[in-house]
Amino acid sequence: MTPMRALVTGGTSGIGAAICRRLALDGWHVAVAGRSQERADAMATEIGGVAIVGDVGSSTDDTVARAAEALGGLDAVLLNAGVILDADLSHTPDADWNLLMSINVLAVHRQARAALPHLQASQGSLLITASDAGVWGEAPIAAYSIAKRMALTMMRCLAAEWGPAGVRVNAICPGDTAPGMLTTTTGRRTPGATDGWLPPPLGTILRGEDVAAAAAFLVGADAFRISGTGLLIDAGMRSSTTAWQAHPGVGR
Amino acid sequence: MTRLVIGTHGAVAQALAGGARFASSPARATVREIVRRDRPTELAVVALPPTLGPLGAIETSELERLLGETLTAAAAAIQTLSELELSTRVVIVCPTGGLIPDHRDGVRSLIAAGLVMLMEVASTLPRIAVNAILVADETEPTEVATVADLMLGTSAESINGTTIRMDGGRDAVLAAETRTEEMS
Repeated sequence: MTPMRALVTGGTSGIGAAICRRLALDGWHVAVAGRSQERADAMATEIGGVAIVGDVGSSTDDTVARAAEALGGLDAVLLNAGVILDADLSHTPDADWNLLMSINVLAVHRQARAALPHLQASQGSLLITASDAGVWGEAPIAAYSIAKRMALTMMRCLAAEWGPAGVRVNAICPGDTAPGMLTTTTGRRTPGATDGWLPPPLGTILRGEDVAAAAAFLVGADAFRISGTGLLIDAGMRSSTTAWQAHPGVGR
Repeated sequence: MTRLVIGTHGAVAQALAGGARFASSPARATVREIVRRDRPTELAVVALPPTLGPLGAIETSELERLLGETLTAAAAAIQTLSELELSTRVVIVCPTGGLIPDHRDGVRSLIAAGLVMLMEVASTLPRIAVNAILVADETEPTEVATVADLMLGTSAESINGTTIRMDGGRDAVLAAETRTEEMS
């Protein structure tokens, strides 16, 4: 049986790496995309995939085309590369704002458009990594919240636009996950550190594997009627205005 | 009270501006300059470009330009208000697709979604109240101005971080007009 073929951007660390591992475990042939040759090679070797090195923020990036060529087509494209800034709106420098919009919104748009012909040919699916902050914003990560809300809206629009072509489009909205995003601007000096993170009602910080399971479901055959969905994977954090106070032992 | 209106030119912007100063879709640096000079106590950001079609059809470079003229400019204005420690009430006027997108009008829906979240996160800044009015193309500009006056005024200071959709109920349920016709 021919394996399904997936491209995962931002696949060399954090949630992206967990997604690569999970898809490989499920039998997918995976193209691991990232900026670091060393990390992409290491992940590709680990899972038996192929490494694609590129900068998704570049307007001339051809990651999607190279992945399609390497795998002989694409059944799923998982646009996971992202960047975060820990700052409220008034402390968001222009350069960081531009970077967040470039990677988290414009690159997603560019790569989604590049992916369409491949996904139409395979009747495949696009999965965007959004965030729980895009569902319900967080002032301390203001620009990130804005960008991820836009990523969710993009997902919904493309789901309606491309559904008639047989292409499904969905998003995952992870809550606080460790190890987290490796690519940060300023503010989050220790990637993966969970100090100060608020506990969700289920009482535990998410692991990359938790998010990867949802991603694998949404691009998999069991989700073949699901499109236009932003799936929250946040251990209940967006269920209530005071969800972060729900777990025993936390001050109310 | 000093009102400043920035954004796309049109009937809604005219209705909101009245005799106030209006700056048409200024670049980020210009926005900051205008806000520093005028020190507004009322700021209206109007982001109502004509429909720009679906997202899949637009070049990313064009989308980037449009974001710069709308979302980035609005963010810069609010950042400057915060930097100047001004007490200002802000209203953002944008298309209804900011809440429930319309894929045929996907570009405007995307921009509006960003503006709505901008409103939400900016509403937490000290001294600044930010709200949003989402309008359909056919919404009467004078009606928008009436609601904006309420949001910009000091008679309802608890209104902060909220959205009013002015579409006559069109988006209250899925395909409201069609269903109503079917039932009548």
